[in-house]
Amino acid sequence: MRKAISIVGLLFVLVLSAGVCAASEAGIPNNGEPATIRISWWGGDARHEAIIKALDAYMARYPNITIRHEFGAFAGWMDNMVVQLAGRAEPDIMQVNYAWVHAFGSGTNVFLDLNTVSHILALDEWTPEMLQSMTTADGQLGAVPHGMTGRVIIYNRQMLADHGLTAFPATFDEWIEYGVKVAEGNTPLDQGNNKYAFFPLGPETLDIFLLTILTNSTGKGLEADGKMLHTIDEVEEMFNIFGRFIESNTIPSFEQHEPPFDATNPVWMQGRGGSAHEWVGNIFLSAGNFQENNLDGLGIALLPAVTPGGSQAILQRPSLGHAISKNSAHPEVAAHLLNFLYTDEEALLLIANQLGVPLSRTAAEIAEREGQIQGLQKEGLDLLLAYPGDMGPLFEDPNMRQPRYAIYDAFRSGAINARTAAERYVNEQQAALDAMR
Amino acid sequence: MSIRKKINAALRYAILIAVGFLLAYPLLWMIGSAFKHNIDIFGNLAILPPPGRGTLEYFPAAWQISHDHTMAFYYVNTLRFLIPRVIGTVLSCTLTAYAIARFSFPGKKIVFTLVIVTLLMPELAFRIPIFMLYRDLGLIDTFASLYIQEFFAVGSFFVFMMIQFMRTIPRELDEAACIDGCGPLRTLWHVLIPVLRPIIITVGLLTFMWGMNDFQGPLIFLNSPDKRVLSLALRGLLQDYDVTHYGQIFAAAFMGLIPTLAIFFTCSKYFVEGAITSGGKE
Amino acid sequence: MLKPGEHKRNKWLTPYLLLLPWIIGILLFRAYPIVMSFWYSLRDFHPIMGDRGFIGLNNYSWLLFRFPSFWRSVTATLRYVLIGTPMVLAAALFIAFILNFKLKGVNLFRTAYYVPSILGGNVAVSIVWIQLFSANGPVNQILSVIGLQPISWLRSETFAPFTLIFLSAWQFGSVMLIFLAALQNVSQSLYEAASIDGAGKWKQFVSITMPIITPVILFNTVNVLLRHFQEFNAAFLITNRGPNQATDFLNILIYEYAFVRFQFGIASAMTWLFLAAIGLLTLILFLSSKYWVHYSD
Repeated sequence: MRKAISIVGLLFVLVLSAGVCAASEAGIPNNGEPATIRISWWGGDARHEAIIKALDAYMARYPNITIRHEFGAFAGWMDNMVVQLAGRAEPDIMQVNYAWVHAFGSGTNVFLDLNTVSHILALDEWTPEMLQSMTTADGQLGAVPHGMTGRVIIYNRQMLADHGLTAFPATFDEWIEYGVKVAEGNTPLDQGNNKYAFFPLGPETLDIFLLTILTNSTGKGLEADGKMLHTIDEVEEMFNIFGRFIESNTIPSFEQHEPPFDATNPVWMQGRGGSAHEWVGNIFLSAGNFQENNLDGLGIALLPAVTPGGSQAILQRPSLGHAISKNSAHPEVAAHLLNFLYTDEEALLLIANQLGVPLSRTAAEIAEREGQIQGLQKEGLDLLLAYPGDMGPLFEDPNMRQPRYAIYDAFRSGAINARTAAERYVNEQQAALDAMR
Repeated sequence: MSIRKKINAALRYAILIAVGFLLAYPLLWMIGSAFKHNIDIFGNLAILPPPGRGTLEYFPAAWQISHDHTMAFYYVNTLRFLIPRVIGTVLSCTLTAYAIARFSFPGKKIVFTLVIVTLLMPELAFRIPIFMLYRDLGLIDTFASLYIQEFFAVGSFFVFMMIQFMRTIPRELDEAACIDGCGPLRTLWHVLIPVLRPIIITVGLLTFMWGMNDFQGPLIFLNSPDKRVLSLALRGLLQDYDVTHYGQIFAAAFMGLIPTLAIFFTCSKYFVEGAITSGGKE
Repeated sequence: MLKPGEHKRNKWLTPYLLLLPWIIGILLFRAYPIVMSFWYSLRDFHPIMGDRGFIGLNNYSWLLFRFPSFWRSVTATLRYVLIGTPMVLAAALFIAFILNFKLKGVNLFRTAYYVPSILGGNVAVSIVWIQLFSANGPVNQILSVIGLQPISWLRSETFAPFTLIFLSAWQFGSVMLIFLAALQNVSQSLYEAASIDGAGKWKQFVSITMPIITPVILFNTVNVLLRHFQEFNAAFLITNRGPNQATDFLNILIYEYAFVRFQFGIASAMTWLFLAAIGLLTLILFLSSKYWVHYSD
């Protein structure tokens, strides 16, 4: 059955792409006149290489187009892009996080409404629901989405085995029990020998971990129509769970957790962390630093269930998308290149799974046919798609996030208790929402 | 008495050497770590890698500091804004200091006060409107955004420093030139510049050094990868790679410091003199 | 001061022509920005989303009354400035005092001590600093040798600012050189008179030298004060503005609101409050200088 659908889909795409070529002579971008296009993305080494190859293939086919590329790691990427946007010096095509589409959307959209280039960019590659996730409140399509992503646990196999476990804990209780065993002999300050069953690499990991607890235990998203959905009691419960992780030393205490707050932290690099909670798409960013790229030493699991018998908590959201600058001198060439990256077989084979699991039709077909998405990544995707657990784009908004970081720190360092933390949380999140209008 | 003197001298040397060691240790540790693997870096006091475990493997990787470019590329980029910045600073500050130190004119007091007031104001106070100005002029993401203003004597610290220095030069010098019928610019060029040489070199060197360390400016005004300067590339090293080798970072930092250190040690007397002049007598 | 009649042959225009670059500079790059900055501070202005109009003093009142982080940042900044400045000055003065003795190799030390100053906020230095002050880093290892408990330098609100203060003190070289130059200018005859009276070196220093170099102390104080107000790299890279905002200095908060969030209105308002704080402190210093700074002529 599945195969049948695939074949029909594939045929459909072939017909469609033939149609596009015939319809507008769009096969040759910019009518053969020279043009230069800038494109930017974040990611890891493998993604950089794959995309550069695809861009080279494009330039080989359309020699009148020159492509200049810019890339880097995700850390600091938004900062860099926002500086470019503010200075009107942004590239023509930008890989974007879906939160940014909404943060810079609604009436003042800085990204081109992609509906205006639908004669070049085949928007029917996506289902209306997928496009909706990238559509701002005023109905503009800010970007096309690539796929879905979610946070999963990557765990240290050796540490698990050392404590007689065969599988990663499935509930928080088991996890904390494991954490207590691991933390035996830890000193109040990390003298280089401490071990932790869970090592949230940075504030972002901690934030998403806690939000996942909150949204999964209450079944509610962050906000609706600018109003916080969680009560102080519910948030207090989240802080109580956080507190159990701290007291049991399952995660490092505030003082034990020293900078740097990313995968270059010695605790993680030396294999003294039992697990981390990372995006499935960028898993190699943190895995690469684990004991100097000891990938075999790592396993992948879902976040344990908050309550015994409960479901394992998942956060999922559109992984990333691609937007075109509103200031682009060649929006149609940009759209043509985007269309190439999303629909051309040669490009899709070169990019393979380096952008994550694609959801657009042609890309998904090819990924399936070529077996690009296998094993845990495939399993993970199926699980992700089965969950509706989207918190909405605002959870990544810096104006919302910064106050949360501050409250987590204050609670973790013992400056405030769970009740005060919960009160501050609800008040300050509401204030941030109010400020956004 | 003589024994006491000797003890005192020994004590002073001991303090000086101890302080010197305290100052040098972080630097030496950093350089030593360029030859170490991660495992020998964390929690290890030793400057040198353990015997037999030293490695040179991080230097080639550090030289190839980003995916597309070697360190040479970022040196050149840094020079592309630093050389004009040095020239602009030296030219405009010399003219300004000359006018203030050697002429009396209505409004001079206001000018000098403004030099002092702007000296006291942090650069950040002007950054936002200048960012908008440069955006309207299309200067964002150009090297010019990092040196244009230096051609207009905004470096109040250097203007002040040069005024202090000029005040130590006997006025008879330019008066003699005056009698010979030299105009002000020719006086400046033929009479004062040769005397001002040390302070001009100091101003140039300090502009250069501070520019090498400038991180915030490039962070705000430059954003495309082919315009990155050394300080940004060094930070990129921390972020852009999947696997972090601290050895590579320290090797890159070490190579990044070599030009700075080399210039410093060959010209150290100008730095010392410069620091002394800025304190000046007044 | 020039005697009247000098440069008689030069037209009155000459100094103004020489000042032309400076005049353009101060108008375009100083006066205009500062006026615009005040204008932005009264508006809801975002360079990406656009100008959403005049909102009076709302940015200021929001900062002062509805944004607790601002006050935590003010506290952090003042703590750093008010503890760091005297520490750097004391270290610099003390070393200058020792170097002022006629010792062999003074020049070598003088040059070597200056090196950290030119490294400044180098990224690599920040990485080294994290290592030095980590829980099992060299500093704590030395403490344990002396028999003291290890300290959570980077994660304690009390101690984290000190890691940055030590970094600043590490760069005392340029300040020290200025002190040293001033000390070397103090006339020997003054000391000889005091030696006869039997005053010790340190007593001489306090009672004779200090008053003479007070103008230089003032100069250095203002300089170091400003440098501390403008600290950016270290707090950004070493303590990551934490823990609990203990090193979230105003300079960084302004940078964040200006060039990360691009809330130019709020950032400009913060800039003005920041300038007011700096202005106030410098004013206090200059006013108080009447009582403790001695000008010889």
